[in-house]
Amino acid sequence: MDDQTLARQLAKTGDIMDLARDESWVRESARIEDECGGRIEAGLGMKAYAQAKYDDSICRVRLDLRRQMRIQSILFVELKQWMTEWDIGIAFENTYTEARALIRAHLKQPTTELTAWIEAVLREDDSAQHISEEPKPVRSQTRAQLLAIMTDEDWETLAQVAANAISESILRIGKVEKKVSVAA
Amino acid sequence: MQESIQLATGAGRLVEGQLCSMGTRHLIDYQQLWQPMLIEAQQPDEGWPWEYKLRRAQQEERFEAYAIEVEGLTQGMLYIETQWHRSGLPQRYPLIYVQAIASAPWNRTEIEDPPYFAGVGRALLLFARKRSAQIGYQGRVGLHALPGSEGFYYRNAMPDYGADSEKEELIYFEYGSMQP
Repeated sequence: MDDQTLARQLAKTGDIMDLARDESWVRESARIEDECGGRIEAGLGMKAYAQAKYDDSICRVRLDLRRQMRIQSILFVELKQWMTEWDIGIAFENTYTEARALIRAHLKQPTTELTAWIEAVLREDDSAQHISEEPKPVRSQTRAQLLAIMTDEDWETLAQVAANAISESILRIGKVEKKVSVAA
Repeated sequence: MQESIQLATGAGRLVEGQLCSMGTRHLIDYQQLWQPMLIEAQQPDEGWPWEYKLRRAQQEERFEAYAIEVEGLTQGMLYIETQWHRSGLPQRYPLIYVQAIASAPWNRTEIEDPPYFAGVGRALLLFARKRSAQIGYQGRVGLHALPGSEGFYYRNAMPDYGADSEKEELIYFEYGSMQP
């Protein structure tokens, strides 16, 4: 990340973060991190962690963690897209956060059907890993799976969280406006 | 705040993502996905109080916390201090100090080879420089690299100011003013 490159980018577009969307820069980033083993951590009070984190025992949990991470990634990408379509504005962040928590809770005790679908979607994902345009019929069922996962109680919870978020936001506006009016 | 970014997958495909202010869902990703890996592997994780960092960023203006989110999950986090730190140079210029920067476990080659995504660290570092310029610090950024991470900062042309005896002997790196 030499200063000449940054200065050139600044002169060109006025925003150095445009580099983070430039293919050659992104590929160079990947090369650099690969050469360094992906270790980028910095900060105080983490030295013990840094020295211990690559213990061999981590291999035992790696596969299970990777599986969990992949299935959550597949579900949450679709969930976010779906919830964006709900058009709930300011309530989105809280409601989306709650929906993720509910889905994670269901993943801890999956039904037989959900387990079978998870196995199938991961298998499909493995076989299509190098071909991004490959059709993924199992993955295309993700939204239907989300619908099947969520219970009536979950919907009630989400509705409540969304209502609370909107109500808190309106009450906050009221308080701020009152303060401004008193100050004036 | 939201910036579009791209990362490369281990297979070399480029994917779209966002760098945004850290929120509760990023902390939960850390607690539910990052941390269990360390706990199950009996790793000490006292040094990773991201809950505390997020709270401070929400309560104190001088702290800011950011996350990179790609394919529905948190891939990296950055926590910076923007007012009190000064350069290691005699001029004591104000700078952005990186309190913590980390990539998700599955993005580290030693844990997942090939990594799930590469480029998280460099995108966060680039953003720290942008914030520095925005605040008026001309891109000055300082940090203490953890053992084993120094190579990443060398490869990113970040000047090395040597081991800091007051900070666990960690190597201090500092970018200066962005000069053409």
